Amino acid sequence: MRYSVIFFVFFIIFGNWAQHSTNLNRFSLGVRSTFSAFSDDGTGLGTGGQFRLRFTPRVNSDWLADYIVVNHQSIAKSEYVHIGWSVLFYPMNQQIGRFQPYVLAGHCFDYNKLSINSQPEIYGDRWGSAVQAGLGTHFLLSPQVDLSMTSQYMVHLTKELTTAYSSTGYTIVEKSGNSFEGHLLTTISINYRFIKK
Amino acid sequence: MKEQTKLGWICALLFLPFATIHAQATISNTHASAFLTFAPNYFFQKNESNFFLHGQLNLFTEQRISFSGDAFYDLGSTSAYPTFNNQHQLFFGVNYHWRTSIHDLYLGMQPGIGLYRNDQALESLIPLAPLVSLQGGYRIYISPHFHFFFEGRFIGGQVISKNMQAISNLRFSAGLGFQL
Repeated sequence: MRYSVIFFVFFIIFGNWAQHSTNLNRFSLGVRSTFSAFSDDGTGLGTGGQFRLRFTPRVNSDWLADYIVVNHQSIAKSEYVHIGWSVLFYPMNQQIGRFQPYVLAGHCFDYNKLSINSQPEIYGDRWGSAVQAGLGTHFLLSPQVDLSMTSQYMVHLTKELTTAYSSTGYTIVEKSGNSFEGHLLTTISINYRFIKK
Repeated sequence: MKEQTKLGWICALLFLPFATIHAQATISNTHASAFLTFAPNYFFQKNESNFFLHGQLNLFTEQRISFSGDAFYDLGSTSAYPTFNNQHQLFFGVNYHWRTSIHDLYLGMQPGIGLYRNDQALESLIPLAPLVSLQGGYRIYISPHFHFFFEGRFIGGQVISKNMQAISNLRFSAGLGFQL
């Protein structure tokens, strides 16, 4: 939790700096919904926010924070907090109609808390790191507002938490070794681009 | 004759908004609007409905785009044993409008977060659930300061606790809104 606050403050300060130190056309702010699938846990839904900082016409960056809740095999609740960034590269110089496709890759800090549904006081948590890569496209609703859809696979570079059944009931245990497990994250975001007038 | 008079009054009341519309002033492309109303919902997976106090603040940044923030405060359930004692939600997102000077049809999407509590001793420690809302609605501007609206939305999500609760539901709001 302490790390979340530190990163949140960092993002606020950095976002403010980015807004004032660069051309405003390069900065955008948005909210996002994320669907998590193909994970060992199960499926889940998340809510978050992001800002974008465009370095060049072909290169953009996403700075994101997400809270995702996953149903872990109907036994436990798996909560993820992702705080990270991705670099977006536009392979095409021009938009295709209102669409602007991109490839992206990045890194994030990853917090996971797994708690047993029937006994939420039994839980385990861990901090870790993750990398993600995928594809996406902006759909420009107007020159200032875009709806973006991104699908990316995130690999956790840490030991995963899981449930184990014993004579006393379910407990939380750490898997042995880094398993490179992850999840497919499909995100729909709405972004407002600040244009200097 | 008496019946005819009654009918005349009903017709006059029904067409009053449209008569007012005729005299309306132009509404700016960029403006803010707000409303506070009651909203019933319908859960897909259980025979239960709730009533909410629904407040919305809407900001048009251009003619076709508006950003809106919505808050739903639970006022009670139709069920004698409701699934949740409290359930409140917050949403923020965008709407895309097809607008004329009088009519306004829109579709939108909002990520959100909900707070869900019940009486069960073993409920989740953090009773928060990420949500997503897909909404559509219609407004009719009756004056520079007022409009009537109808809005329907699908809210998707699930509460993961001792008893899994699918909370996807349909929600409807209607009433009088005002331009700020």
